Amino acid sequence: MIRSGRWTAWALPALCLVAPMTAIGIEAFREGRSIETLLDPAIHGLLVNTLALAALATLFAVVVGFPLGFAIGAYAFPLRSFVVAAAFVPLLVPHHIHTIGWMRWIGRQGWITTRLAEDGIAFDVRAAWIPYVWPGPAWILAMALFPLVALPVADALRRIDRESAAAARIAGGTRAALTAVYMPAAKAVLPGAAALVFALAAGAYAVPSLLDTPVLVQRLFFTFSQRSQGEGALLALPLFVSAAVAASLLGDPSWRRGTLGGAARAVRLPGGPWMTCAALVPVLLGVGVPMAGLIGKLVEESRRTGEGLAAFQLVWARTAASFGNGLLFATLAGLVLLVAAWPLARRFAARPGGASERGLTALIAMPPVLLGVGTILFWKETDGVPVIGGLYRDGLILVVLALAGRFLPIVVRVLRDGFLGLDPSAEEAARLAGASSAKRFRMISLPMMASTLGVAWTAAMTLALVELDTTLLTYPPGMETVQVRIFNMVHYARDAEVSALCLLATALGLLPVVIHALITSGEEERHGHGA
Amino acid sequence: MGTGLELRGVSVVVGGRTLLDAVDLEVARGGVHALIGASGAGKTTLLRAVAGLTPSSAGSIAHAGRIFSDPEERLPAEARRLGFVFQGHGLWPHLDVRGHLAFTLDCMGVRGSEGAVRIARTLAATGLVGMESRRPDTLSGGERQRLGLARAVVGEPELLLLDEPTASLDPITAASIRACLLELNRERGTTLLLVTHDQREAFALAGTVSVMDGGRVLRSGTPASLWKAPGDAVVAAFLGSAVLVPGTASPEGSAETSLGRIALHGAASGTTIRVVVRPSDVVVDDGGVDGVVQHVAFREGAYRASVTMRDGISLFVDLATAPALGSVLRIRVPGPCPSVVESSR
Repeated sequence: MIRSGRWTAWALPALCLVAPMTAIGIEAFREGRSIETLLDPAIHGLLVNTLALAALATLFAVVVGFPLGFAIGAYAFPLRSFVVAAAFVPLLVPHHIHTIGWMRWIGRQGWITTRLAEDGIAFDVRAAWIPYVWPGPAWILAMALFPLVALPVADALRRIDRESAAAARIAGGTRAALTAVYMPAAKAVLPGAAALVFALAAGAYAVPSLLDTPVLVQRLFFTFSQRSQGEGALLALPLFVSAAVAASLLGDPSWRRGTLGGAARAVRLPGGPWMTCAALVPVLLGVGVPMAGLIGKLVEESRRTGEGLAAFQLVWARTAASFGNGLLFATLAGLVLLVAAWPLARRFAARPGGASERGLTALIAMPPVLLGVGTILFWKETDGVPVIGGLYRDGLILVVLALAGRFLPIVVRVLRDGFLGLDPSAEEAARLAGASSAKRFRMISLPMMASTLGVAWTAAMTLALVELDTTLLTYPPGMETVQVRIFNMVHYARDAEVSALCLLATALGLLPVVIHALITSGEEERHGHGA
Repeated sequence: MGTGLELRGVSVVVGGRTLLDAVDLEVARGGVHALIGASGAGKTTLLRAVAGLTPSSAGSIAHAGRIFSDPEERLPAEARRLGFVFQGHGLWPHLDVRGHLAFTLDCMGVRGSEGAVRIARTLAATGLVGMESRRPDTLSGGERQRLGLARAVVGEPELLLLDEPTASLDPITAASIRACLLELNRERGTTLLLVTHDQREAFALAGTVSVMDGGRVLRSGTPASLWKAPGDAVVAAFLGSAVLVPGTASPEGSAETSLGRIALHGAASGTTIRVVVRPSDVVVDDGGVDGVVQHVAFREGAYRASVTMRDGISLFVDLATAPALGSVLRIRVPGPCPSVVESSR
């Protein structure tokens, strides 16, 4: 194993995460700016809007995600594996594509809105129902984020010890098992999962931006990119604080725990076809509705114009370079992520649950726009420095580091779980055989971690491919990604073209997952099922 | 026998906790030595310190004249050239049986025909012939243990460390692993240091045994010497189903106890002693003291009864026929029995 010193391991996280956050803090108070600016009533209103939107989105996500997580975690039912796989998909679809898909139904010219208008019912998804309450954006955010509630709940139930579940069933039947074992386990992860959804909703940019919801992150983006970087940095502070508070509430949800091992998994309770139907409802809301909206608009337009699938060809011809840019950034970010995450993951696996691990994990709650702002501010300082300044002006490194910073906690987490799953004496045995550290890394650690590296690479590529918020701030001129292109096209391109591009971009985002699934299923077939 | 493994004042402190406390130990070259003790006694830590997997905080470790560690230097684990059989196997899931052995030899620079010969010899010695292409996840528990052993010995190390080599194996497989170990020791002269919590396995395999507790070696010796003179209450309690009966030693080599006068092995080292009474020392005799049968279990050809005496002491006695629960037996301990002074631990 290649040994990395404590400081080497933390070098890239410091560059990707700590330096940008520090740069925001320094820039915010430069030139005599005062925190009193934040006491402006308009800013105060934006902050309340932000917190209320995040709270409502969290509520919706819990209402939709908790029953789904409970169903797939505690029950066996037909098509369960499909439902589990489908439950991941909303996380892989970018927020702006979710929004565009939903707008085909409930936007100003959406099918449902039009039908309601014909019945004399005025409906505006963008409007606040009462002050500070914006159900439309909150619903769309919830439909994109509810898997973050469902999956930890399902995972917590999967980890229930078989014997404790069986003991409860013997003592008082299925009802007793549900109330005494399953429900407490599911509830235990709920606060952490809800805190994560809250933080991500509070920092989300695409949904409120497309729906004109007046929230702090939108003002921050506008101020930073159009008016004053310093004022933008100042506006970032409340977001930073709210994200930090939410991160501190993450507690110990199951996605932060290590592999327990040893205890046999609880046997799932029997659930009939009706449970399949019930579990498919949130999946349809999270994936089916927006995708159907996009496909429907495409079909509608092609019927109207008689162009068939010409929209696909048209947008592909126009945006092929953007797909290439996205792939380039994602590939570079993926490489940086794996290299940076490996030593940290090893360190965290050796001592799980330490303060540094908790700190890094909490950074997942950091609004991505903040990371973009901080990255620009930090690298701006290097403008005059030979060589490094060139890297800033070239810009390629900014987007790669911003993407790496954003997804580092996730990739570290995946690799850490992989390391925890390994038998530590396997590497010690290689050491005792006399293998050098390089040979141990090449011949033992790397092959043993191959499948985990595949998962980490897939996660890194997918997340980077569908990322918008930080890329929007950091991409180099003339190298916009397909996600940026979609975001910019919404306002001027034809609906069919935008829909076609959204579908292509979604397929691109799912591509690494499909490739990984094909490779791993092929390997399983080759090696057969082990004992 | 020449210089074998030597530990002098070896301590291991991790996070402020002393796992090994100034341990002295000698294992003759070509000898078989077992470390026994309860869980947490420090047995595995000692093994790992010898291997260099857990750094020692003080003391020195040497084998066959090579210094593994002392206050000035520490030989890295990969340079100690010893074999290690892990309790959890520590196999490499991506390599097949042959791959395990080939990788180990490759690390030592043994390749080509010499490597092939050694692999074939090791496979034969460990009973793995025909399994060369199988990966660990297709092997049974016993086969995995054999593979762990094969990997440890393919390099023909002079010193082989074994951590619970037969734990969690069925008795037949465990016996075959033990036979394999003894053959390796006999044919190659490999020095074996093994850790076990099973006193019977230790006595069956090892020429010398050390009993550990609380990170210290309490007593070392041959199985027979430890059996006859445990010297320490903790050691005595760990060897066999011994019961410690309080008594007062007399100059003529016996002790007065609530069970009557019991002859002692050797001279007692104090006046207030405890007599180590094992089931084999107890007889049912009309001249004995009354005790009530509390529990009976069939064990290796005899009925082992737990008998509670008037003063509350419970003794074990082996009988040819099962006594009735609650019945009264007249118990006598003729001796000679070992005696120990009150343990300081």
